[in-house]
Amino acid sequence: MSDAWYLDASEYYVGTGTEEYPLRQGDLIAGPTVGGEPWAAAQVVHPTCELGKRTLREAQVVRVRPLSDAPDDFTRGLLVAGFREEDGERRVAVAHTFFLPPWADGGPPCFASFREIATIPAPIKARSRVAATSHDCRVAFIRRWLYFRFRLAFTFEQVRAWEATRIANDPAFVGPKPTWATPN
Amino acid sequence: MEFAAKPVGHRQVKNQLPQVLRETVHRGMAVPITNRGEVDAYLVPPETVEELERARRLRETLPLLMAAAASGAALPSQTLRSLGIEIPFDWQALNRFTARVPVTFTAGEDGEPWVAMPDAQPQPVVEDETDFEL
Repeated sequence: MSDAWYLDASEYYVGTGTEEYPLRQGDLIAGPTVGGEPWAAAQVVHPTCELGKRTLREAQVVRVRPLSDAPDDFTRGLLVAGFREEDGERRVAVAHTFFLPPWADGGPPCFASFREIATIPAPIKARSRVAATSHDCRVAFIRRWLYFRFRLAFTFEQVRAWEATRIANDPAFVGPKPTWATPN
Repeated sequence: MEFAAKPVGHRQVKNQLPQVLRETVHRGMAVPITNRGEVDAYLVPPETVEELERARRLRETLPLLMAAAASGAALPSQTLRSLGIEIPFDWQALNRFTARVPVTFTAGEDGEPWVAMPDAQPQPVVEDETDFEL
């Protein structure tokens, strides 16, 4: 067990057959223009169960920025690791961010900034998705989001166990289920 | 840190503690406390305890830092920096390292102790389908 925040880059995204996966929280979409400023991309933070509702008029997303927006390599290191060593302590760092490796060949590594949140018109078009995140990646995202929003520290395994229970009992779940979400 | 203070017996500590502290600990010295000629404790300045605690933390963290340096992973580390160990930033090397090498956190972002929440399993609930456009 490790407290580390992030998966290996190879485990972040669904590589092929993304059409089987409906748009979910944690997925990446093409960057909207917010306040006249074009975003590189956006990460959906709106609850998954809401995204398909006809009554939903706006969905919440956060800004995705390239790692090169950070002022120096030390800060980029904080963004990629999500923690730092200081005086022998291993401390959480830049909790308002979520590291995102490139989702397209040759693309830049990025990070989502939880402080930069916007609402965009819903429903979000399926074709605007640029990357479908894996179930494990969503677990990592939820864990980081919980820490940022509520300062609640959970292990990856705890959050995955909750997701497993939730998915196994969700009659409306669509798409391939993760191997770790088996029915009770 | 000067360890030059002369040993002090139990009785003297009991009867003259303010004076003992003034002449020793307040000057940064550790004082051996003796009982029948044998040292059985030390009175030490608070800074010494802090240093020991820091040394303990560093001892615990050092394997992680050495592994990062050996892997070429630019782990954001004050200790590596203070030792003059600069590792060129490579996001892939750092991501690979943090994903594969176990780490335990000791503190949250604001220095609060890192305490994982107790286990709790959610109870499945069926959502009420009633909705309105607000």
